[in-house]
Amino acid sequence: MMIRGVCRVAAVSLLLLLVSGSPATAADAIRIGVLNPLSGNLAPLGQDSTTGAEVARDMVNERGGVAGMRVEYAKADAPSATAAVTEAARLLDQEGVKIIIGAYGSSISLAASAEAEKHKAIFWEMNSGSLKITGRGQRYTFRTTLTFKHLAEGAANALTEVVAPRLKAKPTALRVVMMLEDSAYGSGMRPLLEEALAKAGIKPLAIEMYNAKSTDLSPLVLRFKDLAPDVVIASSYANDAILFARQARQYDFNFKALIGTGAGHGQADLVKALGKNADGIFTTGATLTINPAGLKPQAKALLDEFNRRFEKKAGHFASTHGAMGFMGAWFLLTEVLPRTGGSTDPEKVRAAAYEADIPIGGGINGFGLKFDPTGQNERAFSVVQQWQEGRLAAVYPTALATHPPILVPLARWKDRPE
Amino acid sequence: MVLLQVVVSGLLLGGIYALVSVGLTLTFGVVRIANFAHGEFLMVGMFLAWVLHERAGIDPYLACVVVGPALFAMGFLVERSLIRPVIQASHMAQIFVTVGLAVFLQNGALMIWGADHRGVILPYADRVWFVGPIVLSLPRVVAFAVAMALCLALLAFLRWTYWGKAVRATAEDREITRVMGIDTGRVYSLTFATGAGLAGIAGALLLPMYAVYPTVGIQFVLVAFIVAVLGGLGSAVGAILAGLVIGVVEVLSGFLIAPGLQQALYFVVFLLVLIVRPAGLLGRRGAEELVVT
Amino acid sequence: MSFGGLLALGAGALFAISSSFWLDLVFWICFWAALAQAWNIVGGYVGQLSLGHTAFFGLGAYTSTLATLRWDLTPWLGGLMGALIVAAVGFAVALVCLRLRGPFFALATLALAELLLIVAVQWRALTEGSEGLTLPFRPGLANLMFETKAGFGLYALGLLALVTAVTLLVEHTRVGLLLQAIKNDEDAARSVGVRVLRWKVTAAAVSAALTALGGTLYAQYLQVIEPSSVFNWEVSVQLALIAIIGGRGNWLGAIVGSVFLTPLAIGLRAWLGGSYAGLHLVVYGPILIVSVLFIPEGIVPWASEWMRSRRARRHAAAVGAGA
Repeated sequence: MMIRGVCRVAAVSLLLLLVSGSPATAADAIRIGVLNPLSGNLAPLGQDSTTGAEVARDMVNERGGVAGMRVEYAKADAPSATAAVTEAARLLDQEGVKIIIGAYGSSISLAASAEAEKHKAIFWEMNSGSLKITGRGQRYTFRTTLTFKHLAEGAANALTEVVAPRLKAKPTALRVVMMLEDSAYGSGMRPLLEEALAKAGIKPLAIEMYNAKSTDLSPLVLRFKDLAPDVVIASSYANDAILFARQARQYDFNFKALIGTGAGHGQADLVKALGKNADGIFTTGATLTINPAGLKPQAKALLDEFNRRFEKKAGHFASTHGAMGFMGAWFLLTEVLPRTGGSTDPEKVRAAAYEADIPIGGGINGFGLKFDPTGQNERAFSVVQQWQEGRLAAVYPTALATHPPILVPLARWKDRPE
Repeated sequence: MVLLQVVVSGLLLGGIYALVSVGLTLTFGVVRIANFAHGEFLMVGMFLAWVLHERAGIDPYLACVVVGPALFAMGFLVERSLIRPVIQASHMAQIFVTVGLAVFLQNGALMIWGADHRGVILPYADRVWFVGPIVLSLPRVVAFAVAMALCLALLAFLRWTYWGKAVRATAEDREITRVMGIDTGRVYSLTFATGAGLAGIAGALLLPMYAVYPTVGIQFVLVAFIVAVLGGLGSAVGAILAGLVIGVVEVLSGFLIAPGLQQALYFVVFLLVLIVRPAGLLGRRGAEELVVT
Repeated sequence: MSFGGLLALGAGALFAISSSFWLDLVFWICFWAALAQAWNIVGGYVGQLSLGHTAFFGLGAYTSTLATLRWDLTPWLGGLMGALIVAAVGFAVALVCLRLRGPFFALATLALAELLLIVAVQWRALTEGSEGLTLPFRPGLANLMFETKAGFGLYALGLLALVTAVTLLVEHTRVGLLLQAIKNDEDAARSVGVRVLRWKVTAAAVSAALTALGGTLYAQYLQVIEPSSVFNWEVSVQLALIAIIGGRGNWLGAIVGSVFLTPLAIGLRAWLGGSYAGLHLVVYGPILIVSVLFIPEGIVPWASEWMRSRRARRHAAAVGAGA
């Protein structure tokens, strides 16, 4: 009896749900879905990416929009792969978008792009570096930014072109250790780093994977200290990068150079926490500050405007992921969509994307835009940067460098001022 | 020699674990509730210390004086409003009330402060002392010292004061204790609140070394449970000893086997304890039978 | 039979709806209902709280996925393998813990889940670590993969039917009575000769095995599994939550719980998650607390009690009026 009542209620609610679901459309606006982790562990950089994309949208709208139409975003929070599938489906069905841009976090991107592909909708990857994203033969997935492979090559370059010469040593003679956090980021970087180093003839003395959420990295520090390496290569998030540096200091574990591969080592948190001790740390990735000579004039003006607006919106200066979010959205809105006349029809967007041709130096971080057949931007690359006096400076390749590298070798902890 | 350093590091870490766990084990023993929001008390304490430092420039170690009582009060309120109504309910209801509280606090913190990791820069935070070849980091030593002092104070409280004895009596047999005229309700509140206060102080002690973010409590709550069980549910002394043991096990296994596996080993230890001696180090055999009366 | 009625309703919905978003929702409702139903076998009928069911879930997902990737086994067999392995693991854990009173089973399952997470991350040779495993998209019944979401919805519905059938079997046979007796008063049951430990442990093993099948379903649907999503504490909480809020110890509870909670979670995140990070979960917490405090037995028992009292009142009024 009661069960029949429940069934009736369920049936009615289901019907109501069916009837109520209908996508909202405004004829005079271009709607694009933005999907990022806005809550949970990946939230800080996910929020940065969405903020960067919003800055792009605001700037485009102020300049008259795309083909005279306003650009509007439908935002989604996808803190995990499971949520990514549901949120992507929601954006595509309920919000009616045909393009989704995002996403920070490779597993989130993988899940969301697979969902978009099933709908034959565009997934415009702006942040994640896993090779699998453009490596699965998906027709409608494009990536504007660099991949883990670029980061790994950048780290190897940092070692062979920047650190080794300044140490007056051959790269193959250097003692190198690697530390990698054990989630998808570090896991993905590991084989690529090994490969990039092997190409330079370098085999690390030790490769340790650790949990980024550890409260204590002393086992790692002490193990490394025992090996007395010259160079530490690290794929870390911010918290563990900071913890490692502090514990290295405490245990008097000295090394001549520390090369990060982006993520934690590229974040403002590093400087906030370590102060002067952050200076000298290398990282690779997309630059925030680039030698103006390496940028086209419009790109330079764009960069200044972006930095101002981002800092105003977010309250901190833009991380590499904030810049990538801006860059990806900007490319889409100013280079690709104008070619379709503002239409977000996936086939048209796809064709337009392949026509895009921006030379290196055209993007605010020096990237150009040209997609290879798998949908990967061939003109994305990794720049070696270094923290100098609290800000990131580009140091290699020399054509794009803003400053020469400093502090190679790093001073011993005991010799540093308090 | 490096091994000695590793063991010392483990002990220092273990001191913190002990402080976090001692409140949890008491709550188990007295109120008979597994409080899954315990880690969140630590997180709130840590954020409070951070806010005090950012806004008023108060040193986290001094902030303990504020954080302790503040979290004590919070624990008191939580016990009265959320825990008391489910004292007689099933284990599940109790656990899920605390899980709900944990989810609420974590995400409340996320909304207020965002997901960024926030740390404090203290001039002495990277100071180290050398005892022979052993390196002792100042914040870790202070945290260890304060944690141990508080634990000993707690033990003294339990042993020699009226309310301390009331707590122990309630843990042994709440019915008889009630019959003897002791307000067990107040004992519950006191115990729960003390656990919260200690966890909050542990958070403040961690701030000089470690960044705070909304989900920082999750890592600690699991270790706290393992330490509590290892030490023997309800035994404060057990929790203190077990905390030190787990700290050493963690750092030692990370060093000898692999840093990535340092957390794995204490789970293995936990499962072994359950098989071999579920009463834990200092629990009474049979004391693991926590029947709700 | 109302169980059949619900199944028909579910299948009907799957055929009637064409929107991808709604089909996805129906899928998740059936998915979580199936998992909660499986948990219910040990959580509701035996009264033993497990907080680490994600361990069984993840093991099932990894077993069937590895079986497909390494040995080209069909997920039908891979899933079965997973269920059997997990049943053994569940049996072992239960054997160790269920002879103890107190929250040990909860803590042990939790510890097992965390341990498996670390193993899955570190044993890269087997699991490819945190990068996870990807299943190629090969639709077909033999591969338990479908072109349309409706197909997956039927798969989920089928699993739900299976687990509910097992639950009904337990409820309506002697087994159910035995478990009920154990749950109410273990010592009394033991004194009457019931082999308490044996039944508790078997229930736990069955519950674990069915959860493993849910893991296989998840892997087939998302085609990507990685340690942090399948060995995830939130999975353990969610499935237990649904069973508890819906009503433990009866077959309809998990289903009703999922019908209420799954759309709520997804809806809250859709409406609030984008603008205020974490707001949807801030709301979720109090909902959980309130329902545990005020409807501790769960919605289904509360609702049927309310209906019964209403009928009794109406009957009494009718009698009074007639008199």
